[in-house]
Amino acid sequence: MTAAQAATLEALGETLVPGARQAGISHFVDQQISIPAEEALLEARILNVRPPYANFYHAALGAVDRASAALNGGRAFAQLGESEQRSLVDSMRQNKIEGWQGPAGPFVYLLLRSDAVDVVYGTMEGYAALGIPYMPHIAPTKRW
Amino acid sequence: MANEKVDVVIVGAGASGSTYAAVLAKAGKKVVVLEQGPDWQLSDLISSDFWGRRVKPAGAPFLLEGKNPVSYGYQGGWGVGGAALHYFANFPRLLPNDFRIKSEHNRAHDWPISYQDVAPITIRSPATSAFQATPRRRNLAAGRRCLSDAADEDFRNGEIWLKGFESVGIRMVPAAVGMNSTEYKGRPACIYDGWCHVGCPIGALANPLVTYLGDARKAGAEVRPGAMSRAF
Repeated sequence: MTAAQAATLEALGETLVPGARQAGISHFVDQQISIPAEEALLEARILNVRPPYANFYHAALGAVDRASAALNGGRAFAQLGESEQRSLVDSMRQNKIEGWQGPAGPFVYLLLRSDAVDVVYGTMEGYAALGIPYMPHIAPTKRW
Repeated sequence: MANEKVDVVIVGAGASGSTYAAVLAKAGKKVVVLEQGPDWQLSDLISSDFWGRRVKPAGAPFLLEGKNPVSYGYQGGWGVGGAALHYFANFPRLLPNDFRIKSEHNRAHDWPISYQDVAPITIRSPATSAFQATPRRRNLAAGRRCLSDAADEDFRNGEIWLKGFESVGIRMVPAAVGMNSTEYKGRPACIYDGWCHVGCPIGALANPLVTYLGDARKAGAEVRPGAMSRAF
């Protein structure tokens, strides 16, 4: 991902699940889309996205920033205020952004929210933060 | 494969392929199983929602149709063991009226055979007997009846749910699952830690690695991972 794409993903992730930026959503996705699809640990596998998964993320982040620029006087998503970001995500989730160009907005919402949930809550640290016993048969040696 | 002589080539090392491989190899056939994905071991079944996705689909996407297709491949598999490497091992039993849906409910079609025709086969068949998983535990499901599991016991969580559902008037009935309630054939009992969906590395939950594929390999069947079949 480019620095601008990473900034968009971090801002989106943080809007969808607070803590996603700090938990490393952009590092997670950037690393996962750089390895072969059959090794990837992304929810995209389960949601039937066509590999290479980088194509989906580039298209989705591009669509979000284009919509943001069109609705907010040329500003990218990461440059918006918190309430503007929430408003755009709400519209995207409901497929209500006119002229949207990219993967379907509700699907982008579903997949990126899942990635954000993953990095914030899907790790052993995430379970501990929720107070849920992890109880592994075989504990992961790396988060991802 | 073009110049090799074997008795049987099976495409896919999932639930069905593993069962056929075991039955045929035990009958003395020379069996080769081709599997497009990797060769997973029990030690690969890491207890993690991230790492568990390694055993989920990873090839070309499923083709979807309809007005509102849902992109969802959670139940698919990738590699040796297939989708049965990671599942909740629910094995609902057919009931007599499943064969008479048109007659009894004016929906779909009746089967040209009856429950009585298939019961003696399906109850004994390796393909439908929960991957040799007896003794089994029972989960509790709404509206489904289990015909032939008198010796089974209920999950403890099922007993707890039952009280709740009873209090709001929802009828629950037992349904069979392919999980050990006690040690069985060297496989331990389930310890309720909830990682069924990423694969059970202790083999308490019946998966092909600890049941039919293991038997098939012992009987001489060869499994070739990373082998995509393109033509017959």
